[in-house]
Amino acid sequence: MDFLVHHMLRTTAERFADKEALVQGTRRLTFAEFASQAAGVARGLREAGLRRGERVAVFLEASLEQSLAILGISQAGGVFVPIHHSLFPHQVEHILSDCDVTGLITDSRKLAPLQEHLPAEGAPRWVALCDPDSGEVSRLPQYSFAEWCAGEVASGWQDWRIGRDLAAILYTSGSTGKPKGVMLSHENLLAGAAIVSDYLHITSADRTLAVLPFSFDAGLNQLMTGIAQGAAVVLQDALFARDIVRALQAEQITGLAGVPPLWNLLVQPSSGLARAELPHLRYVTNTGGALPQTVLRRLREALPATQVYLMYGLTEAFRSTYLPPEEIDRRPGSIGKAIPNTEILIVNDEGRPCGPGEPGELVHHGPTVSLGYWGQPELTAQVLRPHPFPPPGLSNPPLVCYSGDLVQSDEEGFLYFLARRDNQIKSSGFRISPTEIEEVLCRSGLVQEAAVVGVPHEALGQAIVAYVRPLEGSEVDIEKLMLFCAENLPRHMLPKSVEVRDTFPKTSSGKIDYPALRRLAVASAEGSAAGRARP
Amino acid sequence: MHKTTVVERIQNQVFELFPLARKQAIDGNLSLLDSGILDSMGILELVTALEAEFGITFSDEDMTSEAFDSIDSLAALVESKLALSLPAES
Repeated sequence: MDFLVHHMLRTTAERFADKEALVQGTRRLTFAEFASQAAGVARGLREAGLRRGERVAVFLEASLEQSLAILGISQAGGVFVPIHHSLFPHQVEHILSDCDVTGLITDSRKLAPLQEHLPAEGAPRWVALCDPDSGEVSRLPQYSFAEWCAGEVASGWQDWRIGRDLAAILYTSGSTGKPKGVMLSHENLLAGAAIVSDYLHITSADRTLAVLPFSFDAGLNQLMTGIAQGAAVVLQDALFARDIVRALQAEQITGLAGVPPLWNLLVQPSSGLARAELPHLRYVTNTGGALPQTVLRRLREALPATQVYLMYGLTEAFRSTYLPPEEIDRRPGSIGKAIPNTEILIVNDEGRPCGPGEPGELVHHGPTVSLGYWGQPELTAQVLRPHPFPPPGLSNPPLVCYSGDLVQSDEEGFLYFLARRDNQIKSSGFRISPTEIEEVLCRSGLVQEAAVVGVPHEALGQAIVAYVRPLEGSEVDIEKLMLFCAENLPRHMLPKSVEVRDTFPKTSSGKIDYPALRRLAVASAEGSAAGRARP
Repeated sequence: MHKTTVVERIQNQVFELFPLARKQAIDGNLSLLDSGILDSMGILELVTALEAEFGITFSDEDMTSEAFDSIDSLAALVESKLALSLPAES
């Protein structure tokens, strides 16, 4: 019986031993090789002293090693923590110390800028490096990942975990503060793979192109569905949209998952998407924000024979709703209905169910509801709450996930996203907390106060606008401020524009009035768009 | 003189869109791609900005990592496009 993440790989490796599992450029692994090398990693981890439930961070670009690490950590009885490759050292350090990782799997190029941010004691206690010729570069105990992969594993391997145990922690931003670790159990990940495979009809005949990072719930799900079904996963970290189109052709890709900025890149004429022959491409899926109708239209024109699935999900519940392709024309803008084996409720402020057309919060009940935030019981209790309408006789109602997203349904129960309940920004498919950017702006020493909001943006979903208050008696050096931001924040978190204001709209309690600031930003963005002449 | 102008105009666009590039140029490291300053969305923004600045259109074949790796390689690309679009005096 398969109840742990690596069990799916073990079973698939028995069924499809010689079938292609992972592709990275010219490097290819069959399922048998994938399973055997991941088992080697598991043995290496245990020999390095890993105990059950300990966290191991994986800070790598999309690569065979990244997938091998994820599966190896699962098999060793640990918890994998994939970290997005574009994060800056202080952000990586936050993740490593927040969930107190035991080990870090990375390469020497990524480790070098990180070294000075690592504490002398505590997390991590060792590193494993994926580049074979790295030499001794760390003052911590250092292991060779390649040697782990080549290791032999004797029969009689003992699993230490059950399906309810923690398998992974994915870091994501909320509306305030630093990123939080969403805890996913093995059951969550297996359910997510089974559910998505069901409605996308994924089988061993499929080949998916993984462009979404595995540090992101929908990205990780690509790997999980591939392993569950015996479908090949082709890893791609492309700079140019036409490289993605070439990979779709060359690798005979049948499924591609993306976020709105990716589709915006792919519908540019220079991508060559519309001219490419892609007879194998069976479906594409969008997640991580609404796809603008203009981009959707151009995408469907470029891919007339490909089915387009619009999906909605939040890391706290892994995956939530999808709009079947046949409904796209009938229900523009809809995020669809509940994924299989899942109940989606809309609940108003009084805690009652909403009727059609009545706005309320999306509440998710099902097997992909996460275990909450690592080390944050209060925040977890705000998001994971008892089912509001439990069946009679049940003494402990199951926990459901309150999404913080306001939605409404039409007469047939199809859902439409309206707004966030809080100040969280979603840009480039990333969730971004305004406070993280505000902290950096203030840390620059160039401004007295800062407030950050998101305004609607065609390609990004939302664009980040920063309002800053100058230091007394001085002007804000915007160029210097932007440079400081660029040195301290990854690109997806950089403000698109910075506006200087001497006062901020405040609420009666003296806090920054974000909705008012957002209205200002939207009005100003619309004004400048209207006034801008086409060059 | 012409060459300097194109380089400077590209430099201004790059510095405006990617503040880190300015610092990097001072530090003497010229690769925009190796440093991760340019990602796929950044390339799209830069393409849009340069097309508007020079009144040119990049083709499919122009989108290579060699061409987008530095301000100098971008200048060479832009010059070749300008030479094609304005064959005579400029």
